[in-house]
Amino acid sequence: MIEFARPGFLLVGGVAALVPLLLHLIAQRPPDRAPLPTLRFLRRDPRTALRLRRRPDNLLLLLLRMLLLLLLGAAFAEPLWRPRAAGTVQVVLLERGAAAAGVWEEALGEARRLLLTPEGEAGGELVLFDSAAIHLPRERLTAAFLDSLAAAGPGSAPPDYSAALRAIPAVAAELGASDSIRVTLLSSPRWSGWRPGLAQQRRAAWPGALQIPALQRRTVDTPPPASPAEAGAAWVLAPPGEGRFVEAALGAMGLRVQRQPLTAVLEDDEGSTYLVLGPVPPPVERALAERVQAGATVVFAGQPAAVGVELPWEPEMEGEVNWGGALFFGPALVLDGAAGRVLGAPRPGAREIAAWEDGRAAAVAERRGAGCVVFVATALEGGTLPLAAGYPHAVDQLARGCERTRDDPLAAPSMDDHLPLDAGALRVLRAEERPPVIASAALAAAVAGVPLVRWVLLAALGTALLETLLAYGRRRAR
Amino acid sequence: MARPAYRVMAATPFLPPQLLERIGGLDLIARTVVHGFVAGTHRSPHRGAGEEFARHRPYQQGDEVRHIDWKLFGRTDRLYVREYREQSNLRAYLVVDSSLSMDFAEEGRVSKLRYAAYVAAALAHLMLRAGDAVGLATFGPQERLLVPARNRHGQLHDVLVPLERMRAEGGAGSAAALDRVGELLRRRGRVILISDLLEDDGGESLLRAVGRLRARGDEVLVLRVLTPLEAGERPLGAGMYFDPEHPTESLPAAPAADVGYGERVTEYYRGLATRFAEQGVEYVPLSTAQPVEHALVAWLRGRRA
Repeated sequence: MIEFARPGFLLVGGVAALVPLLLHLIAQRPPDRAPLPTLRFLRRDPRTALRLRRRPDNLLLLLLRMLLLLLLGAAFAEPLWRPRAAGTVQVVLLERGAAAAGVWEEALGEARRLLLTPEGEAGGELVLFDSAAIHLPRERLTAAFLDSLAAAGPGSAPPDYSAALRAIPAVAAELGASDSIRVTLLSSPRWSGWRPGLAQQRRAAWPGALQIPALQRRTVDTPPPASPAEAGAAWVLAPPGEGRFVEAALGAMGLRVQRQPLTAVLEDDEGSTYLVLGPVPPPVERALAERVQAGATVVFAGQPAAVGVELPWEPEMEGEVNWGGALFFGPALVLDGAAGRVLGAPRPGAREIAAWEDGRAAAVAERRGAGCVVFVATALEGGTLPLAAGYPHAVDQLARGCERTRDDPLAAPSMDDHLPLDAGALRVLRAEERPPVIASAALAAAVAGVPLVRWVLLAALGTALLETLLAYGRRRAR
Repeated sequence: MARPAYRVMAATPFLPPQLLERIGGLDLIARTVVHGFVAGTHRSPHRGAGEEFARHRPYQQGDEVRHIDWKLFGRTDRLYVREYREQSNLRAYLVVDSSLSMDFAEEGRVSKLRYAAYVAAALAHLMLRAGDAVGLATFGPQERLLVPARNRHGQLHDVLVPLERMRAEGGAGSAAALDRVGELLRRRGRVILISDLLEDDGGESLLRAVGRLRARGDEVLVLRVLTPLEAGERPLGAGMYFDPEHPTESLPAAPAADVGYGERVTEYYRGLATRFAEQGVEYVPLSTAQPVEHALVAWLRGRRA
């Protein structure tokens, strides 16, 4: 069966082939005349007149020219000969990386349902991936294999969704009996699997929709997230018009948040978290210092001077510089878009929570009494920082204060800390507006078959040569 | 007088016109044709009153021994016979049609004009050998006297050169040329018309001119030249045709399917032939497919008569 990877070019070739036909009809030459001195003895034959008027001139040349253009269109359409195939094959991308840890059993169960027939035979194609993707030979896809996979458990490597998607054309190339493909991703989609440029790569690798079943995440060893009532309270002290991003981020983390002006008198609340986004008057500073001693965590963002509260930061110079950068809270939590930074260094004894991309400290924390003082060397709502996907988590990191630091191995990002893909990223990955089933020929670059482009071009070359010789011969005859 | 350097071919087959075309110039063609003709008819030079020595030629079987030049044999060890030029007072004009209709040729064959040139060249050669004064006139765009009738050294060359250079043009009738030639022939002479006889008026003016010549006592010989296609002897496919002498008019026709075409052509020439015969004019239809020698046979026949 001949298939065309770009069938639109067939239409282009067909339209182009009409051009010589139109030119032929428009530019009809009058019929050739022959001399005959004894013309006077001939009788006029009307039928001959009709035949001469209708007789197509240079019909063979016209057909050759039309054929040439049709062949060129067919060559651009990239013809491919493949054995006839039918049916849709299910391809499952099963993540075996760290992000699947919490959904491993469910993912395997879903894979078993999608890939094995009731008789236990392979009914699809399995691609295992973490930082790389491997297509499992179909003959090895058995119930026993999936059982052994379940027993082995997930791996610890970070997932790479782009590697999984790039494996799809390779799988399509090995399909013999099927002519179309449906793809399902079994994973708990996390930002840790999202590589730069994935959104652009995604359609190139797989032009269809991606089925991503919702796998219930189990966190057996991890306590369920606290309800907002148990999560504690937070206060955001911000200048007028500011503070809403921080407030929203803390709220997303489950805290009860209240926003108040910088000069407001604090209510008596010992266990709260305070985020100070601007300079506060001395009475407020003294109140905050008392709160810290009592066990609160106070986060100062972007202001180097705090008289009443000794900051764990030694500024290098007065004021800020205009260039910010990316904030690194950990291997999986990087926020770009900070505007401006306060130059300085941590005081002795302070611990780093975050760093700039050049390695300088960007956020530090220090225990004071029962509480914690945190200093962030940039405005928390400056630049495009609040628009970063990990912003709530970064604010949460700051609010936890002395509980987590960048160097603390206990604070190493766990899978619980890997942010799930937000709705926008999931929409890009799923691409639900695309068809769920794609013809294998659409992945023609890697689809098995015999490419016919060269043969078609050879035929076009022969046609062009014939046309040239014939046209030359006709010109000489005239 | 330079002796020809070639051998006369005994029992030479008559050459088809397209083969003559390959031989070369009219001079060579004329001599080849004539010698072939002469060899075929076994003519022998004869001696009679008013004859003068013309030239030597190699001895051929059948020549009379008394004509052998023994002095020359003694010098060359080769046998040669003397030929004598028969002096004649006859003046003759070859009138050749060079109108556009004569330019017609079938594929692979010579044109009627070229064929007429062969015939004229051969006839000029023969008549000059016989002692006649020969001149040449043509008509195409108009009548034109190209060579006055003479019999002198180099006259054959003077006739052959314009024949060689003749080109078809115009569509004039033959009557004016015949009248002009008739005026030049102060006493009885011979007029040989070589043409396809495709006259616009159906040949009426031609017949009148011929009649005037005959009334003066001139001998008139008409050699009609036509191609097999024109005669309807070979099929012609359907197409758009035009008369070369009237090129603006075209006619869609199917000659092969036109059953009466050949009949109409034949009828036209038959009518002319009948009227020529009534006036004592010998009419010889020639086809470009025939060897030129056929024209010479006709001429001789007419001469003997």
